[in-house]
Amino acid sequence: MNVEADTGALFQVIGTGLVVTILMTVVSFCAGSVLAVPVALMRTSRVWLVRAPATAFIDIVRGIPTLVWLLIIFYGLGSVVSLDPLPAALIGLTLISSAYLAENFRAGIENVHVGQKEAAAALGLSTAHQFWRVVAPQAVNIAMPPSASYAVALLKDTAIAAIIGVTDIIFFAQQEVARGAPAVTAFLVAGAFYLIVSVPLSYFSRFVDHKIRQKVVVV
Amino acid sequence: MTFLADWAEWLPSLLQGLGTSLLLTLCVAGIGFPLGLGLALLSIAPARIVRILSIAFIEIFRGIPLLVVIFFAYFGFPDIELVISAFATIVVAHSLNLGAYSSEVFRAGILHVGPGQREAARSLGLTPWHAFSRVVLPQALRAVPGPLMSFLIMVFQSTSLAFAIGVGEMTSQAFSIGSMTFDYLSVLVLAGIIYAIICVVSARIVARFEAKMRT
Amino acid sequence: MTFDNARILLKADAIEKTFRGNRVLDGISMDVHAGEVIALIGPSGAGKSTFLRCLNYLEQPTGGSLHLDGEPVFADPLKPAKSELLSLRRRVGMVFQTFNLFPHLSVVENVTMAQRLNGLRSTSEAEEYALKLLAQVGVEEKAEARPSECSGGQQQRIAIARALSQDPELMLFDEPTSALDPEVGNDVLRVMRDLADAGTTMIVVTHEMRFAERVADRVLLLDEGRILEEGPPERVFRHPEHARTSRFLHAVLDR
Repeated sequence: MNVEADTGALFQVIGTGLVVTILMTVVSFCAGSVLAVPVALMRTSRVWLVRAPATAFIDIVRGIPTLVWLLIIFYGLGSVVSLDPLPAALIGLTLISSAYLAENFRAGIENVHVGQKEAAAALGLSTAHQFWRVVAPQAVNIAMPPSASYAVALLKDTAIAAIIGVTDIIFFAQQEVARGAPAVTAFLVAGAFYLIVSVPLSYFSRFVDHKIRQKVVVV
Repeated sequence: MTFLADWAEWLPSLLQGLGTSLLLTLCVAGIGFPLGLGLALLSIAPARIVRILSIAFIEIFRGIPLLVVIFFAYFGFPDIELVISAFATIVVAHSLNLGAYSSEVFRAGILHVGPGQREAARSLGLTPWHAFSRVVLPQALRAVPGPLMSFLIMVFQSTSLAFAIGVGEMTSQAFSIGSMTFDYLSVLVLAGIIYAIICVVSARIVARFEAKMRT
Repeated sequence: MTFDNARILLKADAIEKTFRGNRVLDGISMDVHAGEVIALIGPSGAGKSTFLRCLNYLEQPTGGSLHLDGEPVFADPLKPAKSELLSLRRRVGMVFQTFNLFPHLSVVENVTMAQRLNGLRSTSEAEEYALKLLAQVGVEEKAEARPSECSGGQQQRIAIARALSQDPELMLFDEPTSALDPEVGNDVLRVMRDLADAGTTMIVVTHEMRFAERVADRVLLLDEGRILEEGPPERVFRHPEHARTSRFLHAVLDR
């Protein structure tokens, strides 16, 4: 058997899963970011009744392992509404990333210097303008580096979706192993595909962190 | 309220699974944290080649999903004539993962101790090793318990991945009950509640501990 | 110059502030005449900054009331309505010790933002006015820069321009030079002096006794949440009535 040709073929087959892996990462990160905004706003409210549900949501969603969430949605809710693996994974990963990102956004909002809000208030800006024009843009800056490194964590978390049958990188690697491909090679190839995405992404997140540190350093 | 009766019936096997989850967590921490400290030391070693290799190791394991490492070990080890139990496979794969992650915490702790400490120790005539092990390291380790406890919670959650290779921890137990009763939702929700309670309570304890350390 | 016949612009009546059972302001009353410059001095912890912040309700007083131009600012001072708060803050400008410029906006945007959002001027008018104010405080060359690219002295002068952009009737300064080196602080004090000369009504919390002596029309010495001594600078500084005042002045002037 020609080992090189086999490895090349493995790369091709497993590579088809890369699209699904990236799709899951991008969709759940973006949808999670959108969902995270109201959660973070509620989480930073001064009213307990508004804050408590957001806190509970974040705690519960983050307290349950990703795999258990995916099993609950795919197999558990599957008995009520039948879902394909990919939509089930997208729902679960979006839910989880919204909770993690909401915590990042909350930290961003709370770490904007109190003097900024005071200066905005002293200028007679309305409460909404104080928040959206002064606090929020700076909160986004502060929340960006941890959110970029969360994107890396999310990318790796998407691997778990293979367990419920989403056809991502790992899924194809497993399939090739089941068809008799050498497991060591197959999973090295799978690992390489994750590295191709995760290493540049984590360098990018460090770069963002560095840039923002320069910009935000308070005088 | 029939589900409560079900839950009461399932609880013993879930708790048995939970015991396995906790045992896995302990084994992984027992190997992974020392490995992390070792990797941290290697990553700031004087020899360039040692630094490069250890940092490459760390970056690779931080960049690959834990599940890939688990599958690699589970399906790959037999190919190279290395036969270990599924439990041991999880411990090995997970410890490598934890070692890579926690090395960053140890490294930051060591680098946080300023050069003045080492210089003061060296000026007392201590050997480089004594200066490091008796002066720098104790100070470095004082900063790490908080982050390491958070890692422990993450490790506990990730032990659920043992499900994928059939180690009978809590998620596997829940799933097999589900496959027998066809009531996946109820039993998985119960498992989720147990995970959430343990994680939320430990996270609160860690947060309180960290607040105490800061004062 | 005396202001006895001048219009009373701001009247603070028995302002009290209690923080967790701790009485920080113990009923301070004060009339501010249009065009007057008042220096608030006193030992740290005397309540100077808290009192100043009560004047634009960044701190809500726990007692007392404010009048602007003879009209009460709030129907109920303990329950300020949003509209009342906004209108007070649009009539009163504030300059902070730590500048608090908006780091995500350029210098000129810092000065135009409130004008636009508060509907005071159109975008082009706001920009034109901002450039005029920046020139007035001597930082027009930094208009397109980020605040982080400006020196501390420049940032504080930009903050003054930003507060002036609302056409305030009264300007509050909270230790505007405390965070600055003395040389740069002088640039800021010069701008403030120009404002005073132009007839701006100002209340300045300050540790700069020389500035208080030369520029203020009236000096208020606060101690333990009360006005201990009040009068024209030459009297407060040369012939204080209270022994505590002399002790405080000795302590700060010796430094």
